[in-house]
Amino acid sequence: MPFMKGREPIRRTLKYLNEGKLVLKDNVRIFSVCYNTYGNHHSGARDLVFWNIPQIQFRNPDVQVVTLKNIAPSPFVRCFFEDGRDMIIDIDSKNRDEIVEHLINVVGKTRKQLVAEARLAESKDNPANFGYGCERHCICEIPGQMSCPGTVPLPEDVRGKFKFAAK
Amino acid sequence: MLRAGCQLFNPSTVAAAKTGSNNFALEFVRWRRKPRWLPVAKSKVFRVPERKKQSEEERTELMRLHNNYKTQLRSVRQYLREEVVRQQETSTADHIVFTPEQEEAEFQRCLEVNAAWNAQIAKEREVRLAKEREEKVAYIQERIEAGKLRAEEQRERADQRIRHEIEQSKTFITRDNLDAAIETALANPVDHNYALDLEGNMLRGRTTQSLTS
Repeated sequence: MPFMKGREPIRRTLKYLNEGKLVLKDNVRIFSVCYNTYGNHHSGARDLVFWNIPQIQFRNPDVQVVTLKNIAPSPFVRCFFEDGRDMIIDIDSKNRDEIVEHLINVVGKTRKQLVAEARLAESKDNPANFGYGCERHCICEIPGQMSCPGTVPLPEDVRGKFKFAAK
Repeated sequence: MLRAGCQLFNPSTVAAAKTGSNNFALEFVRWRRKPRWLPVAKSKVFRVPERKKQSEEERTELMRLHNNYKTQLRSVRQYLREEVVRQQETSTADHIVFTPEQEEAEFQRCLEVNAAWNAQIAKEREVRLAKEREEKVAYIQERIEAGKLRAEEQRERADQRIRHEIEQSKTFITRDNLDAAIETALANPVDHNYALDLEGNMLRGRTTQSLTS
Protein backbone atom coordinates (compact mmCIF):
# COMPACT_ATOMS: atom_id res chain seq x y z
CA MET A 1 0.00 0.00 0.00
CA PRO A 2 1.41 3.37 -0.99
CA PHE A 3 2.03 5.61 1.97
CA MET A 4 -0.33 8.54 1.36
CA LYS A 5 -3.15 6.70 -0.39
CA GLY A 6 -6.55 5.68 0.92
CA ARG A 7 -8.74 6.93 3.75
CA GLU A 8 -6.82 8.47 6.63
CA PRO A 9 -3.40 7.06 5.78
CA ILE A 10 -2.16 8.29 9.15
CA ARG A 11 -3.57 5.05 10.51
CA ARG A 12 -0.69 3.22 8.86
CA THR A 13 2.12 5.35 10.25
CA LEU A 14 4.36 3.75 12.83
CA LYS A 15 3.95 6.68 15.18
CA TYR A 16 0.17 6.34 15.18
CA LEU A 17 0.27 2.57 15.56
CA ASN A 18 2.65 2.82 18.49
CA GLU A 19 0.42 5.38 20.17
CA GLY A 20 -2.22 2.71 20.85
CA LYS A 21 -3.07 2.60 24.54
CA LEU A 22 -4.72 -0.81 24.61
CA VAL A 23 -2.29 -3.64 25.29
CA LEU A 24 -4.30 -6.75 26.05
CA LYS A 25 -3.54 -9.07 28.92
CA ASP A 26 -1.41 -12.11 28.22
CA ASN A 27 -4.32 -14.51 28.58
CA VAL A 28 -6.45 -12.84 25.89
CA ARG A 29 -6.36 -14.89 22.72
CA ILE A 30 -9.13 -13.48 20.50
CA PHE A 31 -10.51 -9.96 20.42
CA SER A 32 -13.68 -9.59 18.36
CA VAL A 33 -15.79 -6.52 17.65
CA CYS A 34 -19.33 -6.82 16.36
CA TYR A 35 -20.88 -3.73 14.83
CA ASN A 36 -23.37 -2.57 12.22
CA THR A 37 -22.68 -0.22 9.33
CA TYR A 38 -25.85 1.76 10.12
CA GLY A 39 -27.53 3.12 13.22
CA ASN A 40 -26.51 5.91 15.57
CA HIS A 41 -25.90 3.63 18.52
CA HIS A 42 -23.22 1.83 16.47
CA SER A 43 -21.24 4.94 15.62
CA GLY A 44 -18.81 4.49 18.53
CA ALA A 45 -18.16 0.90 17.51
CA ARG A 46 -17.65 1.96 13.90
CA ASP A 47 -15.16 4.61 14.98
CA LEU A 48 -13.40 2.06 17.16
CA VAL A 49 -13.03 -0.31 14.22
CA PHE A 50 -11.88 2.46 11.93
CA TRP A 51 -9.41 4.21 14.22
CA ASN A 52 -8.34 1.78 16.95
CA ILE A 53 -8.32 -1.68 15.43
CA PRO A 54 -5.02 -1.05 13.59
CA GLN A 55 -3.42 0.11 16.82
CA ILE A 56 -4.81 -2.84 18.78
CA GLN A 57 -3.56 -5.34 16.24
CA PHE A 58 -0.17 -3.63 16.11
CA ARG A 59 0.31 -3.59 19.86
CA ASN A 60 -0.96 -7.18 20.23
CA PRO A 61 0.59 -9.18 17.41
CA ASP A 62 -0.14 -12.51 19.15
CA VAL A 63 -3.89 -11.85 19.48
CA GLN A 64 -6.41 -12.65 16.78
CA VAL A 65 -8.39 -9.47 16.13
CA VAL A 66 -11.70 -10.02 14.34
CA THR A 67 -14.47 -7.70 13.24
CA LEU A 68 -17.99 -8.95 12.59
CA LYS A 69 -20.29 -6.75 10.56
CA ASN A 70 -24.08 -6.53 10.48
CA ILE A 71 -24.96 -9.69 12.39
CA ALA A 72 -26.45 -8.37 15.64
CA PRO A 73 -28.68 -5.45 16.60
CA SER A 74 -26.35 -4.24 19.37
CA PRO A 75 -22.62 -3.61 19.09
CA PHE A 76 -20.34 -5.50 21.46
CA VAL A 77 -16.76 -6.58 22.03
CA ARG A 78 -16.13 -10.20 22.89
CA CYS A 79 -12.79 -11.36 24.27
CA PHE A 80 -11.86 -15.01 24.48
CA PHE A 81 -9.34 -16.05 27.10
CA GLU A 82 -6.73 -18.73 27.22
CA ASP A 83 -8.77 -20.97 29.50
CA GLY A 84 -11.82 -20.94 27.22
CA ARG A 85 -13.79 -18.32 29.10
CA ASP A 86 -15.00 -15.21 27.37
CA MET A 87 -16.17 -11.74 28.25
CA ILE A 88 -18.84 -9.77 26.43
CA ILE A 89 -18.53 -6.02 26.64
CA ASP A 90 -21.53 -4.02 25.54
CA ILE A 91 -20.56 -0.85 23.66
CA ASP A 92 -24.03 0.39 22.74
CA SER A 93 -24.21 4.19 22.20
CA LYS A 94 -20.77 4.76 23.70
CA ASN A 95 -18.17 6.82 21.94
CA ARG A 96 -14.75 5.60 20.97
CA ASP A 97 -12.82 7.12 23.84
CA GLU A 98 -15.15 5.73 26.49
CA ILE A 99 -14.96 2.29 24.92
CA VAL A 100 -11.15 2.29 24.79
CA GLU A 101 -10.91 3.49 28.37
CA HIS A 102 -13.22 0.75 29.57
CA LEU A 103 -11.39 -1.89 27.53
CA ILE A 104 -8.07 -0.86 29.09
CA ASN A 105 -9.68 -1.14 32.49
CA VAL A 106 -11.16 -4.56 31.84
CA VAL A 107 -9.01 -6.52 29.39
CA GLY A 108 -5.91 -4.34 29.09
CA LYS A 109 -2.70 -4.25 31.04
CA THR A 110 -2.48 -1.49 33.59
CA ARG A 111 -0.14 1.41 33.13
CA LYS A 112 2.01 0.20 36.01
CA GLN A 113 2.33 -3.20 34.42
CA LEU A 114 3.29 -1.70 31.07
CA VAL A 115 5.94 0.53 32.60
CA ALA A 116 7.41 -2.38 34.55
CA GLU A 117 7.50 -4.54 31.43
CA ALA A 118 9.15 -1.81 29.40
CA ARG A 119 11.80 -1.40 32.08
CA LEU A 120 12.44 -5.14 32.25
CA ALA A 121 12.70 -5.35 28.49
CA GLU A 122 15.25 -2.57 28.51
CA SER A 123 17.38 -4.13 31.20
CA LYS A 124 17.31 -7.38 29.30
CA ASP A 125 19.68 -5.80 26.80
CA ASN A 126 23.11 -7.30 27.07
CA PRO A 127 25.26 -5.28 29.53
CA ALA A 128 28.27 -6.29 27.50
CA ASN A 129 27.06 -4.09 24.64
CA PHE A 130 28.79 -0.82 24.10
CA GLY A 131 28.24 2.10 21.78
CA TYR A 132 25.36 4.49 21.18
CA GLY A 133 22.44 4.04 23.59
CA CYS A 134 24.30 1.65 25.85
CA GLU A 135 25.79 2.03 29.30
CA ARG A 136 29.25 2.73 27.94
CA HIS A 137 30.19 4.26 24.65
CA CYS A 138 33.42 2.35 24.18
CA ILE A 139 35.00 -0.89 25.32
CA CYS A 140 38.00 1.12 26.49
CA GLU A 141 36.05 2.17 29.57
CA ILE A 142 36.43 -1.34 30.96
CA PRO A 143 39.59 -1.79 33.06
CA GLY A 144 41.98 -4.20 31.44
CA GLN A 145 40.77 -3.53 27.90
CA MET A 146 42.89 -1.76 25.34
CA SER A 147 42.64 2.01 25.49
CA CYS A 148 41.37 4.08 22.62
CA PRO A 149 44.00 4.80 19.95
CA GLY A 150 42.92 8.44 20.02
CA THR A 151 44.08 8.70 23.63
CA VAL A 152 47.02 6.35 23.78
CA PRO A 153 48.81 5.02 20.67
CA LEU A 154 48.31 1.35 20.04
CA PRO A 155 51.20 -1.04 20.64
CA GLU A 156 53.49 -1.26 17.69
CA ASP A 157 52.83 -4.91 16.92
CA VAL A 158 49.22 -4.17 15.93
CA ARG A 159 50.00 -1.10 13.83
CA GLY A 160 50.45 -1.60 10.11
CA LYS A 161 53.08 1.07 10.00
CA PHE A 162 55.39 -1.16 11.95
CA LYS A 163 54.00 -4.53 10.99
CA PHE A 164 54.58 -4.07 7.28
CA ALA A 165 57.61 -1.83 7.47
CA ALA A 166 60.76 -2.98 5.73
CA LYS A 167 63.03 -4.81 8.09
CA MET B 1 57.31 3.56 -8.01
CA LEU B 2 57.96 0.92 -5.49
CA ARG B 3 61.56 1.64 -5.03
CA ALA B 4 62.98 3.53 -2.14
CA GLY B 5 65.33 6.38 -2.65
CA CYS B 6 65.66 10.07 -2.64
CA GLN B 7 66.96 10.85 -6.03
CA LEU B 8 66.97 14.59 -5.76
CA PHE B 9 69.72 14.57 -3.23
CA ASN B 10 71.41 11.34 -4.19
CA PRO B 11 71.03 10.87 -7.95
CA SER B 12 71.80 7.42 -9.13
CA THR B 13 71.45 6.23 -12.71
CA VAL B 14 70.53 2.75 -11.57
CA ALA B 15 67.67 3.94 -9.44
CA ALA B 16 66.47 6.31 -12.15
CA ALA B 17 66.53 3.51 -14.69
CA LYS B 18 64.63 1.16 -12.39
CA THR B 19 61.88 3.58 -11.42
CA GLY B 20 61.67 5.36 -14.73
CA SER B 21 61.55 8.72 -13.10
CA ASN B 22 63.68 11.81 -13.42
CA ASN B 23 65.72 13.68 -10.94
CA PHE B 24 63.00 16.05 -9.96
CA ALA B 25 60.55 13.48 -8.66
CA LEU B 26 60.64 12.77 -4.96
CA GLU B 27 59.59 9.25 -4.11
CA PHE B 28 59.08 7.77 -0.69
CA VAL B 29 58.76 4.05 -0.58
CA ARG B 30 57.80 2.57 2.72
CA TRP B 31 57.34 -1.16 2.12
CA ARG B 32 58.46 -3.45 -0.67
CA ARG B 33 55.27 -5.19 -1.50
CA LYS B 34 52.57 -4.95 -4.12
CA PRO B 35 49.62 -2.86 -2.83
CA ARG B 36 46.32 -4.69 -2.62
CA TRP B 37 44.68 -2.68 -5.36
CA LEU B 38 47.14 -3.72 -8.06
CA PRO B 39 46.20 -6.72 -10.20
CA VAL B 40 48.05 -9.97 -10.34
CA ALA B 41 51.42 -9.56 -12.00
CA LYS B 42 51.44 -10.45 -15.68
CA SER B 43 54.03 -13.12 -15.14
CA LYS B 44 51.87 -14.81 -12.46
CA VAL B 45 48.47 -14.62 -14.12
CA PHE B 46 48.42 -18.19 -15.39
CA ARG B 47 50.34 -19.72 -12.53
CA VAL B 48 48.38 -22.48 -10.85
CA PRO B 49 49.60 -23.22 -7.35
CA GLU B 50 50.22 -26.86 -6.86
CA ARG B 51 48.24 -28.64 -4.16
CA LYS B 52 50.19 -30.00 -1.29
CA LYS B 53 50.36 -33.74 -1.28
CA GLN B 54 48.95 -35.42 1.81
CA SER B 55 49.82 -38.93 2.74
CA GLU B 56 47.04 -41.31 3.67
CA GLU B 57 48.10 -41.42 7.32
CA GLU B 58 48.22 -37.67 7.58
CA ARG B 59 44.80 -37.37 6.02
CA THR B 60 43.19 -39.87 8.37
CA GLU B 61 44.86 -38.27 11.37
CA LEU B 62 43.61 -34.80 10.36
CA MET B 63 40.15 -36.19 9.75
CA ARG B 64 40.12 -37.77 13.20
CA LEU B 65 41.17 -34.51 14.85
CA HIS B 66 38.60 -32.61 12.84
CA ASN B 67 35.82 -35.00 13.81
CA ASN B 68 36.78 -34.83 17.45
CA TYR B 69 36.75 -31.07 17.36
CA LYS B 70 33.37 -30.89 15.65
CA THR B 71 31.78 -33.36 18.07
CA GLN B 72 33.05 -31.54 21.13
CA LEU B 73 32.00 -28.16 19.86
CA ARG B 74 28.53 -29.45 18.95
CA SER B 75 28.01 -30.90 22.40
CA VAL B 76 29.05 -27.64 24.06
CA ARG B 77 26.73 -25.67 21.81
CA GLN B 78 23.83 -28.00 22.54
CA TYR B 79 24.48 -27.72 26.28
CA LEU B 80 24.45 -23.93 26.08
CA ARG B 81 21.27 -23.91 24.04
CA GLU B 82 19.50 -26.13 26.54
CA GLU B 83 20.71 -23.93 29.34
CA VAL B 84 19.20 -20.87 27.66
CA VAL B 85 15.89 -22.64 27.17
CA ARG B 86 15.89 -23.72 30.80
CA GLN B 87 16.66 -20.18 31.87
CA GLN B 88 13.85 -18.75 29.76
CA GLU B 89 11.35 -21.22 31.12
CA THR B 90 12.12 -20.56 34.76
CA SER B 91 13.05 -16.88 34.82
CA THR B 92 10.48 -14.16 35.34
CA ALA B 93 12.71 -11.40 34.13
CA ASP B 94 10.62 -10.28 31.18
CA HIS B 95 7.10 -10.35 32.60
CA ILE B 96 5.28 -9.81 35.84
CA VAL B 97 4.13 -13.09 37.30
CA PHE B 98 0.94 -13.51 39.31
CA THR B 99 -0.04 -16.52 41.30
CA PRO B 100 -3.12 -18.32 39.97
CA GLU B 101 -5.19 -16.97 42.88
CA GLN B 102 -4.16 -13.39 42.17
CA GLU B 103 -4.91 -13.88 38.51
CA GLU B 104 -8.32 -15.32 39.27
CA ALA B 105 -9.10 -12.45 41.65
CA GLU B 106 -8.04 -9.93 39.03
CA PHE B 107 -10.22 -11.67 36.46
CA GLN B 108 -13.20 -11.63 38.80
CA ARG B 109 -12.65 -7.91 39.46
CA CYS B 110 -12.65 -7.26 35.72
CA LEU B 111 -15.81 -9.33 35.32
CA GLU B 112 -17.54 -7.30 38.02
CA VAL B 113 -16.47 -4.00 36.54
CA ASN B 114 -17.65 -5.15 33.17
CA ALA B 115 -20.94 -6.42 34.55
CA ALA B 116 -21.59 -3.00 36.09
CA TRP B 117 -20.75 -1.34 32.80
CA ASN B 118 -23.01 -3.72 30.88
CA ALA B 119 -25.87 -3.16 33.33
CA GLN B 120 -25.51 0.59 32.98
CA ILE B 121 -25.57 0.32 29.20
CA ALA B 122 -28.51 -2.08 29.31
CA LYS B 123 -30.45 0.48 31.30
CA GLU B 124 -29.61 3.24 28.87
CA ARG B 125 -30.52 1.02 25.98
CA GLU B 126 -33.88 0.18 27.54
CA VAL B 127 -34.62 3.88 27.78
CA ARG B 128 -33.50 4.47 24.24
CA LEU B 129 -35.46 1.51 22.86
CA ALA B 130 -38.59 2.59 24.76
CA LYS B 131 -38.25 6.04 23.30
CA GLU B 132 -37.71 4.66 19.84
CA ARG B 133 -40.71 2.37 20.24
CA GLU B 134 -42.87 5.29 21.30
CA GLU B 135 -41.68 7.32 18.37
CA LYS B 136 -42.42 4.46 16.06
CA VAL B 137 -45.91 4.01 17.49
CA ALA B 138 -46.58 7.71 17.08
CA TYR B 139 -45.29 7.62 13.55
CA ILE B 140 -47.43 4.64 12.62
CA GLN B 141 -50.46 6.23 14.23
CA GLU B 142 -49.83 9.35 12.22
CA ARG B 143 -49.49 7.35 9.05
CA ILE B 144 -52.73 5.50 9.76
CA GLU B 145 -54.55 8.78 10.35
CA ALA B 146 -53.16 10.21 7.17
CA GLY B 147 -54.20 7.07 5.28
CA LYS B 148 -57.71 7.27 6.62
CA LEU B 149 -57.94 10.90 5.63
CA ARG B 150 -56.68 10.10 2.18
CA ALA B 151 -59.22 7.29 1.76
CA GLU B 152 -61.98 9.59 2.93
CA GLU B 153 -61.02 12.21 0.41
CA GLN B 154 -60.85 9.64 -2.33
CA ARG B 155 -64.31 8.36 -1.49
CA GLU B 156 -65.62 11.91 -1.43
CA ARG B 157 -64.16 12.57 -4.86
CA ALA B 158 -65.66 9.37 -6.19
CA ASP B 159 -69.08 10.21 -4.74
CA GLN B 160 -68.98 13.64 -6.28
CA ARG B 161 -68.11 12.17 -9.61
CA ILE B 162 -70.94 9.68 -9.35
CA ARG B 163 -73.37 12.40 -8.51
CA HIS B 164 -72.15 14.38 -11.46
CA GLU B 165 -72.54 11.40 -13.75
CA ILE B 166 -76.05 10.76 -12.50
CA GLU B 167 -76.85 14.38 -13.21
CA GLN B 168 -75.43 14.01 -16.69
CA SER B 169 -77.22 10.75 -17.38
CA LYS B 170 -80.57 12.56 -17.67
CA THR B 171 -79.55 13.84 -21.08
CA PHE B 172 -77.98 10.57 -22.26
CA ILE B 173 -79.26 9.05 -25.50
CA THR B 174 -80.59 5.59 -24.66
CA ARG B 175 -82.17 2.89 -26.72
CA ASP B 176 -85.63 4.26 -25.86
CA ASN B 177 -85.13 7.83 -27.02
CA LEU B 178 -82.68 6.91 -29.79
CA ASP B 179 -85.24 7.47 -32.57
CA ALA B 180 -86.33 10.79 -31.19
CA ALA B 181 -82.71 11.87 -30.94
CA ILE B 182 -82.06 10.84 -34.55
CA GLU B 183 -85.17 12.71 -35.64
CA THR B 184 -84.03 15.80 -33.82
CA ALA B 185 -80.55 15.57 -35.26
CA LEU B 186 -81.82 15.14 -38.80
CA ALA B 187 -84.26 18.01 -38.35
CA ASN B 188 -81.55 20.36 -37.14
CA PRO B 189 -78.38 19.75 -39.12
CA VAL B 190 -75.44 21.56 -37.66
CA ASP B 191 -72.63 22.85 -39.82
CA HIS B 192 -69.27 23.05 -38.06
CA ASN B 193 -67.54 24.65 -41.04
CA TYR B 194 -66.75 28.30 -41.29
CA ALA B 195 -64.34 30.57 -43.15
CA LEU B 196 -61.83 33.15 -41.97
CA ASP B 197 -60.97 36.33 -43.79
CA LEU B 198 -57.72 38.28 -43.47
CA GLU B 199 -59.02 40.34 -40.54
CA GLY B 200 -59.78 37.18 -38.61
CA ASN B 201 -63.54 37.41 -38.88
CA MET B 202 -65.33 34.13 -38.64
CA LEU B 203 -67.76 33.70 -41.54
CA ARG B 204 -70.42 31.07 -40.96
CA GLY B 205 -72.77 29.67 -43.55
CA ARG B 206 -76.01 31.50 -44.20
CA THR B 207 -78.19 28.55 -45.10
CA THR B 208 -77.27 26.05 -42.50
CA GLN B 209 -77.54 26.22 -38.82
CA SER B 210 -74.11 26.61 -37.34
CA LEU B 211 -72.80 26.55 -33.80
CA THR B 212 -72.53 29.93 -32.24
CA SER B 213 -69.20 30.29 -30.52
